[in-house]
Amino acid sequence: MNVSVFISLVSLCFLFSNAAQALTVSTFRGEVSFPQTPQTVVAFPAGVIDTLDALGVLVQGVPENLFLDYVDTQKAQTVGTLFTADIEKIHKMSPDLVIIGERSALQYEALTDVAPVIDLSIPRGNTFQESLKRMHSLAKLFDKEDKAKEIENRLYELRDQAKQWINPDESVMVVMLMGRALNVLSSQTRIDWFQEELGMNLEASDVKSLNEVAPISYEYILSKNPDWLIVMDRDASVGRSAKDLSKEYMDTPLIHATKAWQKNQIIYLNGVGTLNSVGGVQGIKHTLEELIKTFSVRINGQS
Amino acid sequence: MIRHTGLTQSLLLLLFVLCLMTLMLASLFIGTYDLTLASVFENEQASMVMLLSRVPRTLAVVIAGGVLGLIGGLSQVVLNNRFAEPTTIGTAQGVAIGLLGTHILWPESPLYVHTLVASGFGLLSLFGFFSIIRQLKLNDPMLLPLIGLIYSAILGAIATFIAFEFDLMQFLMVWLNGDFSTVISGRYELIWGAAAIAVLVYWLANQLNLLNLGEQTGRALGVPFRTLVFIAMIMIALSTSMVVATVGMISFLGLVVPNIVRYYLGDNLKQSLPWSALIGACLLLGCDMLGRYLSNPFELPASLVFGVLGGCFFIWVLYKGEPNV
Repeated sequence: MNVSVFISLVSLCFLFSNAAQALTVSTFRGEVSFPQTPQTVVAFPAGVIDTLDALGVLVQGVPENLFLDYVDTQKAQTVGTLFTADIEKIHKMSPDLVIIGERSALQYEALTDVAPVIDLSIPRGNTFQESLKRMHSLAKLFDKEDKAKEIENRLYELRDQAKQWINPDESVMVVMLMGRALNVLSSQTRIDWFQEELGMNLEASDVKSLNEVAPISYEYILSKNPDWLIVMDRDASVGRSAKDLSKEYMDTPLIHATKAWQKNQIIYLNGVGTLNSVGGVQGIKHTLEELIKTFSVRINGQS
Repeated sequence: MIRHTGLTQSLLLLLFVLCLMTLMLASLFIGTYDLTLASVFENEQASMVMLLSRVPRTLAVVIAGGVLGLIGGLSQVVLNNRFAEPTTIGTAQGVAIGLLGTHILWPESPLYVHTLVASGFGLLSLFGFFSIIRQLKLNDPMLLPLIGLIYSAILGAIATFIAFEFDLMQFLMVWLNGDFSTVISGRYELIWGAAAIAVLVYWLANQLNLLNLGEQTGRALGVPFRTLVFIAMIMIALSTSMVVATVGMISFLGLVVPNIVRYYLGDNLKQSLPWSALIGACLLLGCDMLGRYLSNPFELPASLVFGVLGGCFFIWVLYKGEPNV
């Protein structure tokens, strides 16, 4: 509580001192102003790196083990991990801006001493809309608002296409494979926008106590018997597993008995866009494209 | 040492076997899918759920609980210390390092290869522990578990480091926290290997009992002491790795259960091992059923429930004081 009060005070001071040409950005911890467009940027969240790449902004510092196969980070330096930033290296780089968020948000205090930090964590609720909001904040800061408008239009177009295939009367269960465990992702998690934006009728959405992961058994999937099953391998999505095991895990008589399997309505989704690059506009785009492709093939192939 | 007479003991054993049977039967009817006795026979899908999910899960829990209880008892005799068990002497951590290594280097190889390599690492960690305690003169029996805990912590730290570097923390958690939620037919069969080893341990119990004599006395009497220790170590490492690789580790089960058993039955392995296995199986099955029941339709890992309830149970047993028979 105190921290946010302090930060808003600080940002207020900034507001008054640079009122003339300040670039104000709304962040997870209140509004922050910058005198000018930052040149050297360090970003930790994969979703932010993804969005900045889409906008055409070069990021100079990224975390280790970033697994975004579609973003070229060859030229960027690695500056520690999501959980422990390499403070010395960042200090040496003396960036104009360090962006943290979600999993790296805890590093806020540690980093404020070395560089200007903003927390661009995405609030829960509708990750699709929040991602667009975040993209616009970044676009404003880096003066890429035209590009952002273009991306937004494209994403809305894809969303509308995806929506056409989704029947709100058919239930959808999203299962995440993690290690040996199966988890159901409800509408309280990062796939909230599947329901909010695409109109999917997500299984387990009535359960309030679920936020991140809810471990389930195969029996759970069978007894809920969803019309559609979307399966993601978490370990493959963050690049820690050589192969995607979701197909192997679903190939059992218990799943063969579900409606989803019998109607050939299982979608093995690449989880990079939703589980790794949280709120990244390219991740969302890929996810939408994959959904459109598989939904259309499954539905057309059937009728 | 307080011993029960033969008759009360066999009656008690019968009682516990009945208790396990009841639990197993009940376990077959606890789960997310709606099953009744009638539906199993009438409905094809229900019988499939019973055969492919409930029965394997129940068996896996019983085997894991039994094996861990028994292996704990064996470790305690091998090390001649009451506080030894795979997680307190670094074996489970060694196995985890092995599993991480195979996962990083040969991710495509089948599970049994992972398990064999992991048991190799488990064995190495056991050798390491033995060579450490051999160098030291341990006057106080409390020193061994202390060294064991430090040793486990070091190995655990290495495992954590590797997992952290390769972003495999979730994997490590999965291995070190036993969970039976995804046990179905076709995904757990390796644990039968651990069951086979447990039978072998019981078969060798009379020989292994000689380890109770201590090294000097034993060797003076012509016991092939080192060979016996070696065999016991291989069995501990193999069965631990099989359990860890298929369902994950249940910490301290192997510590709690054999100690309760020893409290009543003494050090004779032939007598105490079946009890350790039986009580271990009962406790773990109870915990898994509770986990299934409490967070229905979701799952609560058995290791978590055991951590809470097993600890309380152990304290209660200690608190109850002397058994009065």
